[in-house]
This record gives sequence, C-alpha cells and structure tokens, in this order.
Amino acid sequence: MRIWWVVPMGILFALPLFFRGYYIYVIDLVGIYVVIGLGLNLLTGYCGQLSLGHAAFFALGAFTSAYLTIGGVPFLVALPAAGAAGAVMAYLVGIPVLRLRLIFLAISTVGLGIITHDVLYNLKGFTGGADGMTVPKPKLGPLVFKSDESFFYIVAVVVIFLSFLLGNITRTKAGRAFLAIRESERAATAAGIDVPRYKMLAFVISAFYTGVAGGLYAHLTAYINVTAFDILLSVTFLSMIIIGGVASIPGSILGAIFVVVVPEALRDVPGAKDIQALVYGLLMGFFIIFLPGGLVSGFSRLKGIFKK
Amino acid sequence: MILQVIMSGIAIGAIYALLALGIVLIFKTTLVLNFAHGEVAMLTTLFAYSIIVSLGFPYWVGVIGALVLGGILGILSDLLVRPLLNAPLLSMVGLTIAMFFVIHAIGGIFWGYQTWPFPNPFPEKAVDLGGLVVSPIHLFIIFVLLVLGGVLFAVLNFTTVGTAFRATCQDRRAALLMGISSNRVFAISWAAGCALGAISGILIAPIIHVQVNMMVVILLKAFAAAVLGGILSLPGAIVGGVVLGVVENIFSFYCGTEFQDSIAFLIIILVLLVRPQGILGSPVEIKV
Repeated sequence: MRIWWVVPMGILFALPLFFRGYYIYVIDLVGIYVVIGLGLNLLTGYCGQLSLGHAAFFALGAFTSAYLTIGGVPFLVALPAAGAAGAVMAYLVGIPVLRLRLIFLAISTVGLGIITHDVLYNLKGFTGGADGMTVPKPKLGPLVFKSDESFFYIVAVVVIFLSFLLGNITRTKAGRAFLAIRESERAATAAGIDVPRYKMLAFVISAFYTGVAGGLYAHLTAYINVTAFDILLSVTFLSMIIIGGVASIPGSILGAIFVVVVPEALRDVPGAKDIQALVYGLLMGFFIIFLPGGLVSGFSRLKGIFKK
Repeated sequence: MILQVIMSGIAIGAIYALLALGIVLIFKTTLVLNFAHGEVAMLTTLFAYSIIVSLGFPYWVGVIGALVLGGILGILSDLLVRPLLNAPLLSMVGLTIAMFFVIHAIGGIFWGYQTWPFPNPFPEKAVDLGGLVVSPIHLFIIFVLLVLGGVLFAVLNFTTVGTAFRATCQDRRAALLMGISSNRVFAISWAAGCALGAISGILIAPIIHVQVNMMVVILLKAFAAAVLGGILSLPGAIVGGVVLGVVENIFSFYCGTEFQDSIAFLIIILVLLVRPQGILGSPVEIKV
C-alpha cells in the first residue's frame, strides 16, 4: 500500500512545472499556512486550548530567521531556530498563562499578541517599525532559492515533514492526553494525566510550528513588516482551524487553502477589501453553524451519502 | 498634576466602561462574548451619522435611529447565536468573529473608509472644575455612565424583567422551571446590550470621529475592562473601565504612549492570574 504515496508525491513535486509566478506564490503561501494550521490544530483542535495570539510566534519566527540569515547563519539552521524562538517564548509565556481556563486563556492570548506586536513595533531599530525590513533569499549550500517556484520545494519538504511529525505525535501517549484534556480537564487529571505538562507541550509545539512558518514567510516574501502581524492575523489563523476542521491534518490543509485562496480570489472584485471580509465572514459563519466539524466533516458526510 | 491625569483617565475609562457594560450584559445571560460588539456600535453610529448629517434630522432622531438599529442587530445576533449555545467555545468565538467581519464589511461597503467628524451636542471648549480641565462631552459620558448604571440597577432589582434576567443569570434551568422564558431573556439581553453599544458609539464618536475602524482597538480595551472588573459583574464593568482608563493614563503620562496598549493587556493578564474573577466578581466555578 505504501507505494501509492509515490503518485500524490510525484504530483506535488511536479506542481511548480504547471503553476508559475503568482500561482506558485499562492501555493507557497498555502503551504506556510498549512504549517501554522497543523500547529494550531494541535493546540486548539486536539488539546482544546484557544489561542488568539499566535501571530506573536509567527512574527518572532519571521524576525528570528531574518536576522539569523542576514548574520550569515545557514538557512537550515535558521529555520528550526525560528521555530525554537517561538517555542521558547511559548514556554515562558505559558508558565503563567496556561493556568487559565477557556475564555480567560483566549483573552490573555489576545493580550500576548498585542503586547508582542507593540513591543516589536517600538523596537524600531530591530524590526524597522512601520517600514519593515528586507530578508535575504534562503541558501542551501551553493543553491540560492531565488524564485517562488524553487521556494516551493522548501515549503513542500517542510510541510510533509511536519505533517508526518504531527501525525505521529497524535498517535502517541501525548496525543491521547491532548484529546482527554480537550474533553474534560478534571477527568483527565483524575485519570492520572499531568494536565499542565501536556498543555504546555501542545502550546510549545504549536508555537514551534508557527515560528517555522514565520521563518518560511520571511524568506518567501523577502520583506517583513511588524504591522502585518496583528490580532487580525491571529484571528485568521484560528479561522483556518474552524473552517478546515478541528483535530485533523487534512482539515489544516483545507483550512489553509480556504484562508489563502478566498481572499486572493476576491482580490480583483470592486470593493475588494470589503467583499473579501464579507464573503469570508459569511462563509465562516456558515461553516460554524452548519458544519462545525469544518470542511473535513463535510467530506465525510458526502462520503456517507455516497456509500448508501 | 496627578489629579488631572486621573481625571482624564476617568474620562477615557468611562468610554471603556460604556462598551464593557454592553459586553457584560450579553455575557451574563447568554455566556457569549460578543467580539462583534464594537462593530455593532460602529454600524449604529454610522447610521446615526447618516440620519443626522446626510439627511439633516435633529440629533435626537439620530440617537433613536441608532438605538433601534442596535436593538434589531441585537435580536438578529441572538437568533444567529442561539443554535450554538451548547457548542464548544471555539464555535462561539468563531461565530462572533465571523459577525465581526460581516458587520465591518457592511460598514465599509455602505459608508467607505473616510473619517467624518460627528456632531458634538456640547460646546467644544473644555470646562474648568476647580483646577481640573475636562471637556463637556467627557463629562457627559461620565454622567450617562452613572445614569445608565443607576437605571440598570433599578431595572434589575425592581422590575419583573430585571428579576427574570437575574434568575436566568444565576441558574437558567431553575429559571426555566419557574416559568421564565430563556429565549425572551436572551433576546432582551442582546437587544439591550447592543443598544448600549449604540449609545457608546454615539457618545464616543465626537471624540474619535466616525469611521469604519473606530471601534476595533477600543473594543479590545473594553474586553480588558470587563475582565478586570469581573466578567459577570455589571458594576464591575464600570469599575473595570474606570480603573483601566486611569491606570493606562497614569502609565502613559510617566512612561510615554508607545506601550499604552500593552500595559492594558499586561494588567489584564496579571489580574487573570491573581484574581480571575476580576475586581468585583465572585469566584467562578467552571463545571466539569
């Protein structure tokens, strides 16, 4: 059965041959959002902790990778370092914050996002403030990944690797612990699960993923600006999970596709910004009301209809 | 000098408190944190602007129009949210966020993104109160806040509706058993909450001018204020708003305005850690 993987893999790696320029840029962006979706799905979908501040980790990862590569650190090191930066920040922040439940956690993550945004914005010398900063293109040894097409391969490898990693994590004891915590923290504690430790683990892993995505983003766009990493971005990340499907890897992928493609597809419509937001909001609301399990559950339902 | 800073802080805080009141009012019964509250305030204010400035009706007609629109939006929100009351938190948060996008977009589509000055029913000149300088509109906001607080108190404690409201907040099932219709209480909460939002918007508009993005940042502060005062406490919303405004102002007076927003949220996080029920809240027991 394993041999069947060759076909979708082959198609995946051949994509840059068929999609060029703008389209491959969008696909790259989708890949980056998939990484975020994977991480956030672990935290919110599997473990049930709501975060509205993940743009903070994204920003941190972006600037970390940017500065490291400018400083001559090889890309292969800078990218995981970007993830690590996010992870460290999550650890420090998580110690106090993860004690909070439900809506209070959500509000404090909002605070986290805003504080990070403010701090980074005001560190003008470091982040360029409202002007942003340029980021060099990644190099792997002698190869420079100048084009969006070549960058696709980096994104694809990262996405595949991190998806498998996530899939494995969910199948371990930790994965089951996350689910138990989502369903009922008290019951999980009663069953002997070290809830604070696993909550922190989910938080840190999701921050790592988001940091890596931030690093990828910095190198894809070759220019990063703090003002883009705001609460609206965090909300977009979360909506990815809601629309795609919680606790599901295909859900993260579908969510990422939706979140990137819908605004881009509506870009040329007159009144674009508003139409984007309107359609986005309406679709999001539609999914929440009628398809709370996200697009993924819609597909399972369709499958169920056809099986009859 | 410090007294002036505090006075200005109270003035700003009153704005946060007004919005926070609406948020808490809706949250107490329905347990829904309406992330779209600010947008409702914005839309009703834009509507009032059109009535007063574009159509030339007197100020009070605009106010009534805004209140009516607020009530309608509230009831619509209630109907929209009701099927999801037992859904996981993520759905609820997501739905109000979706509402945020939709209402925001409606504002942008019908009114565009310019900024307009909103008619100020009071003279612009600041008033001197024994050494402290305050502008009349700020004073009026504080006044309205206190009046609303009193009205809410009276309604909640001395009317049937108020008792039904309080009963539903305390224990919805028991209230149902006593014959109190949750649906009706929810509808009233939503309508009243959004109407409060409309009032907030109209009062704030002369100060920050009318535009589609006017409420976004203020709303976050209002949430912070609500949490600070106790998310389930109406007097807490007032107290939390004022405290937040004062602390924020003192901080920016001594340390500059760059980190003003951060300080607000830092306070919130600290409060949540030390006393999650807020200043005036009673300890919250979350069911397993």
